Amino acid sequence: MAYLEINRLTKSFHGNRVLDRIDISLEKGTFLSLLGPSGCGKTTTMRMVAGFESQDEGTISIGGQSIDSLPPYKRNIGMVFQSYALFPHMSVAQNVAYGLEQQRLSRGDIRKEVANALEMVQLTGYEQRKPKQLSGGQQQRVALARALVTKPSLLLLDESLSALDKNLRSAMQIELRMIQKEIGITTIFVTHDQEEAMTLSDCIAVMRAGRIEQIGSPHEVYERPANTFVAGFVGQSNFLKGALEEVGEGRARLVLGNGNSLFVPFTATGSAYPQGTETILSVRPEKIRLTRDTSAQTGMKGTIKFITYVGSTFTYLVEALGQELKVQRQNDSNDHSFRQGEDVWLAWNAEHQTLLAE
Amino acid sequence: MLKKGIGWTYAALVMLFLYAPILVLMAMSFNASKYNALPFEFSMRWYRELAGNDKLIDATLTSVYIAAGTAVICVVLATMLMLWAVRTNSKLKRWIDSLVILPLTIPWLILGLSLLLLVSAAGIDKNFMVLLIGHVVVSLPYAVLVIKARLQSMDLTINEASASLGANEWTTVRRITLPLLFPAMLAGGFLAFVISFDNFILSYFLIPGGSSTLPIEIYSSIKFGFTPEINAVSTVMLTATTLLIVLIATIMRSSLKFFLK
Repeated sequence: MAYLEINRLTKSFHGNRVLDRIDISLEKGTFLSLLGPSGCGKTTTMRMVAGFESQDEGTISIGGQSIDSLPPYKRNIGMVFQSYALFPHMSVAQNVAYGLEQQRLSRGDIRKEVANALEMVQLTGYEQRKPKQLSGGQQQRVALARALVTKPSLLLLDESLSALDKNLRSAMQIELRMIQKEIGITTIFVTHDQEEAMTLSDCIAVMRAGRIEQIGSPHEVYERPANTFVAGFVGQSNFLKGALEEVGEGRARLVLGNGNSLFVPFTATGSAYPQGTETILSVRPEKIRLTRDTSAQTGMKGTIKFITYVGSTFTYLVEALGQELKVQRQNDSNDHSFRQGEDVWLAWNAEHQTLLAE
Repeated sequence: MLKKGIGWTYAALVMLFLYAPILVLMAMSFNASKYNALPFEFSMRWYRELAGNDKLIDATLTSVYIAAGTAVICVVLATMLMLWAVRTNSKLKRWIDSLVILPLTIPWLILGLSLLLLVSAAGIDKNFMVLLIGHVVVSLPYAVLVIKARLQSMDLTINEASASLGANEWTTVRRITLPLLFPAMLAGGFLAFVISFDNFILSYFLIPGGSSTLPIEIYSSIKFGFTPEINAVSTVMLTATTLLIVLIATIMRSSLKFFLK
């Protein structure tokens, strides 16, 4: 049995099913992100773990102990709120000490623990400040120190970085991850930002409409998306929908909905994909090669419609066989010789494409 | 330039309209003339006479006691009610919300009359308890409005933060909610005090025979021939309330800075 076990968690609000049989099991020390658009149920799931909402069905257990009947204050779960929720009338030290006081620690121990926690988040010297006298990033750290100082069995982070500006945010991401690894605390992070989820997590659960669409490592979720929603929500993807014909050695013909067809690389055995199998081929923009050479065995010819330059990369919008595809290339000074309106050949490797059922 | 001048004149006229009567009253309390007549001649005579007027002093003290009692009861009731209200989502809550505010719209005359009818129907003699209840009824909505406004502007996730740190609900109320609510409780209590202190109509209906509050005393002394002692007692009260406001504002400013976003 894993450290955190969530089984068939289900909840309806006013007849609306907001969570539909959520299953999650996490090993101790894992950093899990619940990733999804707003309203997908990620926050509700987290609030249930914290005990602020109650489930209609399903169970949650930590370390083999069911926590379903415990009120929030008996769950020993640390939480960093989106608004940080620092106590405005207390100093930084008092905020951090609050949880320890509930555990009835001696004054000396409290002072020591508070000092340690503040050192961990690099806020030594800020003990007597009030939350309003701190910057957003500092408030964030106080909230983190306050949540961790009680040595909780689980850490919950509710969109905790979304209020920070971009540079501070990536600095905090790294710091957060380092602290989390150092104390080895099992963490659930709720976010709608796929890049943040990729950066921080051991494991990502992509959610939509109250269900988990895919759960896996960032690499799995990105390289082997389970469906078009995951492929489109985590990173970007080009989709070619059609039927597989002429499955042969190393390649197959994909007949698109508009009647056009192309040869795509194909290494799976033909028996898994009988003649005429409907599929959606997904390929990431950065996995597509652009060449002027049109003699390749697979791929398709297209015309560059538009070029976006974002410094480190170029994004080409290419029209091919009546479809629009995005192609992303590194700005390494070899590739940007393509001009708008130019005809190019698009090709990719079999291992870079995913064949999806939906 | 002209526009600015008009603006200033307008503001000055409004201020004059608001404060001239009060200033005249204060000035006349220091005027020697018994009939508020001019020319102005400085005298402390009315303050001396006030100091010897036991009836007026007794009435003032009665008013202060009742107002203080009203304020305390209102703050306790309003705070408990609103703390309960933020935790429930029931239909009942909306009803209670409206019902507590409703006395604001009922004329005090009718409130006083109905309380009086209730008391005599129940066969109870008019007493200070009834008077206090009447004052609480009219003052409570003000305390509720002030405290409710503060609670609604509070970030409720701090209650959840407190719970996630292992504090039960009572600890959360005691250590988080009440300290944050304190300025509003003070303001609500002060408002209730002023409403009660100022109230003439309810007191007039419900006061036990032989007793008197300051508004009633002032009213009856005007009926039986006005003396500038009334000016003097009014000036004392005005000064006392102004000082109280300044005091509260000073206490609160230092603590408020951190409370208010």
